[in-house]
Amino acid sequence: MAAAVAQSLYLPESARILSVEHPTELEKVYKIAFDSGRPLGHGPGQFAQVSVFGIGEAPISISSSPNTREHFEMTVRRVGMLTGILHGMEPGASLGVRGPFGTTFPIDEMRDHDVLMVAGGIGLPPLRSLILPVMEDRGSFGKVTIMLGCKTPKEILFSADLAAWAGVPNTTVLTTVDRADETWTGNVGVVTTLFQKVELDPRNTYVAIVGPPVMYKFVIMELLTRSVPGERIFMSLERRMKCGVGKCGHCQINQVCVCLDGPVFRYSEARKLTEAI
Amino acid sequence: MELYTITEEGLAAAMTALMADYKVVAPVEKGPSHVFDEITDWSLARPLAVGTTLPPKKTVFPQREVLLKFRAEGGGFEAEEVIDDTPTVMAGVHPCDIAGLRCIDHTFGGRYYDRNYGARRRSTIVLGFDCMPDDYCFCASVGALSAEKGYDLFLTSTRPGGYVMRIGTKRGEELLARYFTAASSGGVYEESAIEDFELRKRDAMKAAIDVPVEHLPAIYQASMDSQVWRKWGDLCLSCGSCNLVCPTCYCFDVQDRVSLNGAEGTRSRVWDGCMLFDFATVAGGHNFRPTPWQRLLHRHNRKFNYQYDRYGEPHCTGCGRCGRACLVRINMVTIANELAAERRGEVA
Repeated sequence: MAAAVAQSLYLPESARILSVEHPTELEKVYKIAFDSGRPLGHGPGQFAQVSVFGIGEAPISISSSPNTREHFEMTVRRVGMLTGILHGMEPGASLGVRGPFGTTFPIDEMRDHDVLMVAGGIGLPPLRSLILPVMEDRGSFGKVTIMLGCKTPKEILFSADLAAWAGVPNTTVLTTVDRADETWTGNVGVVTTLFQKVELDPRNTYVAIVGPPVMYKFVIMELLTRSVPGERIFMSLERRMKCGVGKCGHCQINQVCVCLDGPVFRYSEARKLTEAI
Repeated sequence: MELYTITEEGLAAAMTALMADYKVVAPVEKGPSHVFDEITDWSLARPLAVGTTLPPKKTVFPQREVLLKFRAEGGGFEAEEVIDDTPTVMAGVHPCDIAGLRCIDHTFGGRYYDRNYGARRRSTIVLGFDCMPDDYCFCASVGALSAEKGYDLFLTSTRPGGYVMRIGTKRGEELLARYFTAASSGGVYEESAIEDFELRKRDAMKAAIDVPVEHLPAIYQASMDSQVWRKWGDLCLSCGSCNLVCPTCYCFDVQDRVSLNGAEGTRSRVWDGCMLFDFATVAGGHNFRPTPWQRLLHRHNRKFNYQYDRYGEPHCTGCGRCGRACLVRINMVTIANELAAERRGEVA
């Protein structure tokens, strides 16, 4: 075994909520900073373990840019006990945070290429940690396309960001909803219907996908039909996690631990895992 | 190899002397079986007992283990790690369970070193004892019939009332000098007595996997669609007994407990099991392995394929506990042989 390290893997660092926004019925967006002032230092696509002592801990993706050092953002959907407690927290409240953990979208490899980023629903927050640094260094990338599919218009997160990105030259933002309401004048249909609206250069495009399990199958089918090589398709997988550091066994898919070997996987590797998609 | 001999009485004297300085854990009788428990009287120990209900891993990786304690402090919380490094002697650890500890070491070591586990593991001395198999044991099929490493001292009961001792570590050598004062040096005769014991052990083994263990990863990888998983999975009750009794299963849940006034609490890890229904369910309710056969496939592949591939050795040690514990007689050996038969001629 490796040499002893200074502290338990499970000991969170103390952090505080700086601000809370409530953009949709189920989601809140938190700006958080460590009490020590150290930056989280995450890469695009990584996650951290968030603790509320007495309740527990959960893996939550990071939705801010890696270039923003003074704080980080997390978008939390209220789905269980811990996220329910988080939703009751105000600015100034204390949290425990461990991380960042996991693999990243290879933003350096993506430079000088076209980039297609596809999000389904709550997949947008983790993907935003890639979209933001791409947009912050916009000149280094070719054509940028962002696709977002949500169930209803009310579930669309970061709409101000989407509008701002849509205004950047050589950048396309396409959104669609499964079910429109009276306010919606945009696309209706699943996210794959948006592919009819774009030209993809399969020899020069990197793809990043974050969404629910069912979305991967259909988006990847669409990409492979258009001859995008599996080596340039990246996807983030969600699994149950307790530790974030490859110990608790929950997130294992075949030979890999999603927390260590993922959550971001290259499709050409993930396709070998029988349980991945 | 340097060998020593010791009588039953000499061993008892050594263990009694060890109890003055260490917590001593060994198999003792409990109901129809045996369990590892702390003892203060060596005459209660049954170090040769086969198939303790739970493996000795619980000494270094307890069913419930406090990782952190925390208390409310200035609107937030102060948390500190809880490290248990009580000097412990674990006696009666058989070769299968020595292999099991090594498997768990792989998980808790690596890039993220687990101090909570590591402290307890380092402070625990392993006194290995060789054993004779029952109907469920199949250690010979998975390379765990004998232990070459992973113990401080290893004792083989080569004749009634007497043991041959091997030294596995520097720490074992020091223990021998300090506590096993009745031991005397052995030689060629003792070496052949160990060989003879291991031959008798191999002969006594009834359960066996029909193919070399090195072939199993490829066989399991090629058997993801096999009906064998459906057949046995349909019987599985998802009770998780196989997980609980396994010397290499390490999956855990993390749980917080808080005092009644909410001022302080603990965060613990608690054994979990991949055969339980909710093991792979994420927030929002999606279950990545909703059926028993999917969970059975996953567990058995962890033993003979996934972890084998990741860490280079089989993660089933042939202890037979899951077979003994299973209420519907699902057995690692039966499944391995059925899969091997289906793939005969396909996989080298």
